[in-house]
Amino acid sequence: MSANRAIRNTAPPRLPDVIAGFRRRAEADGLLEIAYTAMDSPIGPLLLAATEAGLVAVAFNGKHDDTLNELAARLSPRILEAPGRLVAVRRELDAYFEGKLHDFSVPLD
Amino acid sequence: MPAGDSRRRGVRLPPFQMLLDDHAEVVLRFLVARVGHVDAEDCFQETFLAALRAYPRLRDAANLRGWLLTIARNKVADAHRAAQRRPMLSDELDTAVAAPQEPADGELWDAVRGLPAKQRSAVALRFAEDRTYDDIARTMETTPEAARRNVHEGIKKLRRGQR
Repeated sequence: MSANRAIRNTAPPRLPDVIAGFRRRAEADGLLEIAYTAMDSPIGPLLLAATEAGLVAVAFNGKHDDTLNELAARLSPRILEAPGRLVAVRRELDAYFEGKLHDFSVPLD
Repeated sequence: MPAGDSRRRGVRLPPFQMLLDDHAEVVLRFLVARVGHVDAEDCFQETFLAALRAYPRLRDAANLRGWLLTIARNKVADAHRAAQRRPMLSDELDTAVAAPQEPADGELWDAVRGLPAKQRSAVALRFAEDRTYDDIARTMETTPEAARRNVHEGIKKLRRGQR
Protein backbone atom coordinates (compact mmCIF):
# COMPACT_ATOMS: atom_id res chain seq x y z
CA MET A 1 0.00 0.00 0.00
CA SER A 2 1.46 3.36 -1.00
CA ALA A 3 1.79 6.19 1.51
CA ASN A 4 -0.85 8.13 -0.32
CA ARG A 5 -3.41 5.38 -0.03
CA ALA A 6 -2.68 4.88 3.68
CA ILE A 7 -3.26 8.56 4.38
CA ARG A 8 -6.47 8.55 2.41
CA ASN A 9 -7.80 5.42 4.08
CA THR A 10 -9.48 4.33 0.86
CA ALA A 11 -9.38 0.57 1.39
CA PRO A 12 -12.80 -0.64 0.23
CA PRO A 13 -14.99 -2.02 3.02
CA ARG A 14 -14.97 -5.85 3.05
CA LEU A 15 -18.40 -7.43 2.80
CA PRO A 16 -17.90 -9.95 5.66
CA ASP A 17 -16.78 -7.15 8.03
CA VAL A 18 -19.68 -4.94 7.04
CA ILE A 19 -22.16 -7.79 7.53
CA ALA A 20 -20.64 -8.69 10.92
CA GLY A 21 -21.05 -5.06 12.00
CA PHE A 22 -24.68 -5.09 10.88
CA ARG A 23 -25.33 -8.33 12.79
CA ARG A 24 -23.89 -6.85 16.00
CA ARG A 25 -26.05 -3.76 15.67
CA ALA A 26 -29.16 -5.83 14.87
CA GLU A 27 -28.62 -7.88 18.01
CA ALA A 28 -27.97 -4.77 20.14
CA ASP A 29 -31.22 -3.23 18.84
CA GLY A 30 -33.18 -6.38 19.72
CA LEU A 31 -33.92 -7.08 16.04
CA LEU A 32 -32.23 -10.46 15.86
CA GLU A 33 -35.29 -12.51 16.73
CA ILE A 34 -33.97 -15.85 15.52
CA ALA A 35 -30.26 -16.68 15.31
CA TYR A 36 -29.11 -19.85 13.60
CA THR A 37 -25.97 -21.78 12.83
CA ALA A 38 -25.05 -25.07 11.19
CA MET A 39 -22.75 -27.65 12.77
CA ASP A 40 -21.35 -31.05 11.88
CA SER A 41 -22.21 -34.01 14.07
CA PRO A 42 -21.87 -37.83 14.01
CA ILE A 43 -25.47 -38.01 12.74
CA GLY A 44 -24.87 -35.49 9.93
CA PRO A 45 -25.15 -31.73 9.61
CA LEU A 46 -27.34 -30.04 12.22
CA LEU A 47 -29.16 -26.74 12.10
CA LEU A 48 -29.61 -24.95 15.43
CA ALA A 49 -31.90 -21.96 15.89
CA ALA A 50 -32.59 -19.86 18.99
CA THR A 51 -34.62 -16.84 20.03
CA GLU A 52 -33.42 -14.60 22.85
CA ALA A 53 -35.39 -16.88 25.19
CA GLY A 54 -33.78 -20.14 24.10
CA LEU A 55 -33.50 -22.91 21.55
CA VAL A 56 -36.43 -23.17 19.09
CA ALA A 57 -35.22 -25.73 16.56
CA VAL A 58 -32.67 -28.48 16.06
CA ALA A 59 -32.99 -29.92 12.56
CA PHE A 60 -31.07 -32.99 11.48
CA ASN A 61 -32.91 -33.90 8.29
CA GLY A 62 -30.50 -31.88 6.14
CA LYS A 63 -33.32 -29.65 4.87
CA HIS A 64 -32.07 -26.51 6.56
CA ASP A 65 -33.78 -24.11 4.16
CA ASP A 66 -37.16 -25.72 4.81
CA THR A 67 -36.68 -25.41 8.56
CA LEU A 68 -35.72 -21.73 8.29
CA ASN A 69 -38.65 -20.99 5.98
CA GLU A 70 -41.00 -22.66 8.43
CA LEU A 71 -39.57 -20.61 11.34
CA ALA A 72 -39.96 -17.45 9.24
CA ALA A 73 -43.64 -18.23 8.63
CA ARG A 74 -44.42 -19.49 12.12
CA LEU A 75 -42.37 -17.18 14.41
CA SER A 76 -40.64 -14.30 12.66
CA PRO A 77 -38.79 -13.64 9.38
CA ARG A 78 -36.15 -11.65 11.32
CA ILE A 79 -33.71 -14.55 11.02
CA LEU A 80 -29.94 -14.20 10.72
CA GLU A 81 -27.03 -16.58 10.67
CA ALA A 82 -25.39 -15.67 13.98
CA PRO A 83 -23.37 -18.46 15.61
CA GLY A 84 -22.63 -16.41 18.75
CA ARG A 85 -26.00 -17.07 20.35
CA LEU A 86 -25.61 -20.83 19.88
CA VAL A 87 -22.15 -21.35 21.36
CA ALA A 88 -23.50 -22.93 24.57
CA VAL A 89 -25.85 -25.23 22.66
CA ARG A 90 -23.05 -26.37 20.38
CA ARG A 91 -20.82 -27.10 23.33
CA GLU A 92 -23.49 -29.25 25.00
CA LEU A 93 -24.24 -31.11 21.78
CA ASP A 94 -20.54 -31.78 21.19
CA ALA A 95 -20.25 -33.16 24.73
CA TYR A 96 -23.41 -35.23 24.21
CA PHE A 97 -22.05 -36.82 21.02
CA GLU A 98 -18.79 -37.59 22.82
CA GLY A 99 -20.85 -39.41 25.45
CA LYS A 100 -19.86 -36.99 28.19
CA LEU A 101 -23.27 -35.38 28.66
CA HIS A 102 -26.72 -36.89 29.17
CA ASP A 103 -28.84 -33.98 30.37
CA PHE A 104 -29.02 -30.67 28.57
CA SER A 105 -29.15 -27.43 30.53
CA VAL A 106 -29.56 -24.85 27.73
CA PRO A 107 -32.91 -23.03 27.89
CA LEU A 108 -35.65 -23.91 25.39
CA ASP A 109 -38.10 -21.40 23.94
CA MET B 1 -42.77 -13.22 19.81
CA PRO B 2 -45.04 -11.04 17.63
CA ALA B 3 -45.93 -12.66 14.35
CA GLY B 4 -45.64 -10.26 11.42
CA ASP B 5 -48.73 -8.71 9.87
CA SER B 6 -47.48 -10.03 6.55
CA ARG B 7 -48.41 -13.57 7.52
CA ARG B 8 -52.08 -12.72 7.78
CA ARG B 9 -51.96 -11.18 4.35
CA GLY B 10 -50.47 -14.36 2.92
CA VAL B 11 -47.08 -12.93 1.93
CA ARG B 12 -44.31 -15.48 2.34
CA LEU B 13 -41.21 -13.66 3.50
CA PRO B 14 -37.93 -15.59 3.29
CA PRO B 15 -35.60 -15.58 6.32
CA PHE B 16 -33.87 -12.19 6.37
CA GLN B 17 -30.48 -13.91 6.04
CA MET B 18 -31.45 -14.67 2.43
CA LEU B 19 -31.64 -10.95 1.69
CA LEU B 20 -28.07 -10.61 2.95
CA ASP B 21 -26.89 -13.63 0.96
CA ASP B 22 -28.52 -12.47 -2.27
CA HIS B 23 -28.29 -8.68 -2.18
CA ALA B 24 -25.70 -7.44 0.35
CA GLU B 25 -22.93 -7.28 -2.25
CA VAL B 26 -25.01 -5.25 -4.68
CA VAL B 27 -26.14 -2.85 -1.97
CA LEU B 28 -22.57 -2.33 -0.73
CA ARG B 29 -21.30 -1.70 -4.27
CA PHE B 30 -24.10 0.80 -4.85
CA LEU B 31 -23.23 2.62 -1.61
CA VAL B 32 -19.49 2.69 -2.33
CA ALA B 33 -20.29 4.25 -5.69
CA ARG B 34 -22.57 6.82 -4.11
CA VAL B 35 -20.90 7.87 -0.84
CA GLY B 36 -17.35 6.49 -1.06
CA HIS B 37 -15.49 3.86 0.93
CA VAL B 38 -15.51 5.63 4.28
CA ASP B 39 -19.25 6.26 4.60
CA ALA B 40 -20.42 3.15 2.72
CA GLU B 41 -20.07 0.84 5.73
CA ASP B 42 -22.26 2.96 7.99
CA CYS B 43 -24.82 3.52 5.23
CA PHE B 44 -24.91 -0.22 4.62
CA GLN B 45 -25.63 -0.98 8.25
CA GLU B 46 -28.27 1.76 8.47
CA THR B 47 -29.88 0.35 5.31
CA PHE B 48 -30.09 -3.23 6.54
CA LEU B 49 -31.16 -2.22 10.06
CA ALA B 50 -34.03 -0.16 8.61
CA ALA B 51 -34.93 -3.09 6.34
CA LEU B 52 -34.83 -5.60 9.19
CA ARG B 53 -36.99 -3.31 11.32
CA ALA B 54 -39.65 -2.96 8.61
CA TYR B 55 -39.36 -6.48 7.20
CA PRO B 56 -42.21 -8.29 9.02
CA ARG B 57 -44.67 -5.65 7.78
CA LEU B 58 -43.54 -5.85 4.15
CA ARG B 59 -46.53 -6.50 1.90
CA ASP B 60 -44.80 -7.51 -1.31
CA ALA B 61 -41.74 -9.76 -1.47
CA ALA B 62 -41.53 -9.78 -5.27
CA ASN B 63 -38.68 -7.25 -5.62
CA LEU B 64 -36.61 -7.40 -2.46
CA ARG B 65 -33.49 -6.06 -4.20
CA GLY B 66 -35.40 -3.02 -5.43
CA TRP B 67 -36.81 -2.50 -1.96
CA LEU B 68 -33.33 -2.65 -0.36
CA LEU B 69 -31.87 -0.28 -2.96
CA THR B 70 -34.69 2.19 -2.34
CA ILE B 71 -33.84 2.18 1.37
CA ALA B 72 -30.13 2.51 0.51
CA ARG B 73 -30.92 5.52 -1.68
CA ASN B 74 -32.69 7.19 1.25
CA LYS B 75 -29.70 6.52 3.51
CA VAL B 76 -27.43 8.12 0.90
CA ALA B 77 -29.61 11.22 1.00
CA ASP B 78 -29.36 11.22 4.83
CA ALA B 79 -25.56 10.88 4.62
CA HIS B 80 -25.31 13.77 2.17
CA ARG B 81 -27.44 15.97 4.39
CA ALA B 82 -25.24 15.09 7.38
CA ALA B 83 -22.07 15.80 5.36
CA GLN B 84 -23.36 19.27 4.48
CA ARG B 85 -23.76 20.09 8.15
CA ARG B 86 -20.29 18.75 8.99
CA PRO B 87 -17.25 21.02 8.63
CA MET B 88 -14.67 19.72 6.15
CA LEU B 89 -12.07 17.63 7.96
CA SER B 90 -8.40 18.06 7.22
CA ASP B 91 -8.01 14.51 5.86
CA GLU B 92 -10.79 15.22 3.39
CA LEU B 93 -8.70 18.16 2.17
CA ASP B 94 -5.80 15.72 1.77
CA THR B 95 -8.10 13.52 -0.27
CA ALA B 96 -8.84 16.33 -2.67
CA VAL B 97 -5.13 16.97 -3.20
CA ALA B 98 -4.07 13.32 -3.42
CA ALA B 99 -6.72 12.28 -5.97
CA PRO B 100 -4.44 11.32 -8.95
CA GLN B 101 -3.10 8.21 -7.12
CA GLU B 102 -6.51 6.51 -7.27
CA PRO B 103 -6.71 3.55 -9.69
CA ALA B 104 -8.76 4.17 -12.83
CA ASP B 105 -11.93 2.55 -11.53
CA GLY B 106 -11.94 4.57 -8.33
CA GLU B 107 -11.25 7.74 -10.28
CA LEU B 108 -14.29 7.06 -12.39
CA TRP B 109 -16.52 6.58 -9.36
CA ASP B 110 -15.16 9.81 -7.89
CA ALA B 111 -16.29 11.48 -11.10
CA VAL B 112 -19.69 9.78 -10.79
CA ARG B 113 -20.04 11.28 -7.32
CA GLY B 114 -19.56 14.70 -8.90
CA LEU B 115 -22.67 14.28 -11.10
CA PRO B 116 -26.04 15.82 -10.20
CA ALA B 117 -28.05 13.58 -7.85
CA LYS B 118 -30.42 11.94 -10.36
CA GLN B 119 -27.72 11.24 -12.92
CA ARG B 120 -25.47 9.89 -10.17
CA SER B 121 -28.12 7.45 -8.95
CA ALA B 122 -29.06 6.38 -12.46
CA VAL B 123 -25.44 5.79 -13.53
CA ALA B 124 -24.64 3.90 -10.32
CA LEU B 125 -27.70 1.67 -10.69
CA ARG B 126 -27.03 1.03 -14.38
CA PHE B 127 -23.31 0.27 -14.18
CA ALA B 128 -22.55 -0.78 -10.59
CA GLU B 129 -25.73 -2.90 -10.42
CA ASP B 130 -26.22 -3.75 -14.08
CA ARG B 131 -29.91 -3.03 -13.70
CA THR B 132 -32.42 -2.46 -16.51
CA TYR B 133 -33.93 0.96 -17.21
CA ASP B 134 -37.35 -0.30 -16.09
CA ASP B 135 -35.82 -1.43 -12.83
CA ILE B 136 -33.95 1.86 -12.33
CA ALA B 137 -37.16 3.75 -13.04
CA ARG B 138 -38.98 1.81 -10.31
CA THR B 139 -36.25 2.41 -7.76
CA MET B 140 -36.02 6.12 -8.62
CA GLU B 141 -39.80 6.47 -8.87
CA THR B 142 -39.61 7.84 -12.37
CA THR B 143 -40.26 6.66 -15.96
CA PRO B 144 -37.90 4.36 -17.90
CA GLU B 145 -37.43 7.21 -20.42
CA ALA B 146 -36.30 9.58 -17.68
CA ALA B 147 -34.00 6.90 -16.24
CA ARG B 148 -32.43 6.36 -19.68
CA ARG B 149 -32.02 10.10 -20.14
CA ASN B 150 -30.34 10.48 -16.73
CA VAL B 151 -27.89 7.67 -17.50
CA HIS B 152 -27.20 9.12 -20.95
CA GLU B 153 -26.61 12.68 -19.66
CA GLY B 154 -24.46 11.33 -16.81
CA ILE B 155 -22.26 9.34 -19.22
CA LYS B 156 -21.93 12.34 -21.52
CA LYS B 157 -20.69 14.47 -18.61
CA LEU B 158 -18.27 11.74 -17.48
CA ARG B 159 -16.83 11.49 -21.02
CA ARG B 160 -16.30 15.24 -21.15
CA GLY B 161 -14.66 15.13 -17.73
CA GLN B 162 -12.32 12.29 -18.71
CA ARG B 163 -10.65 14.26 -21.48
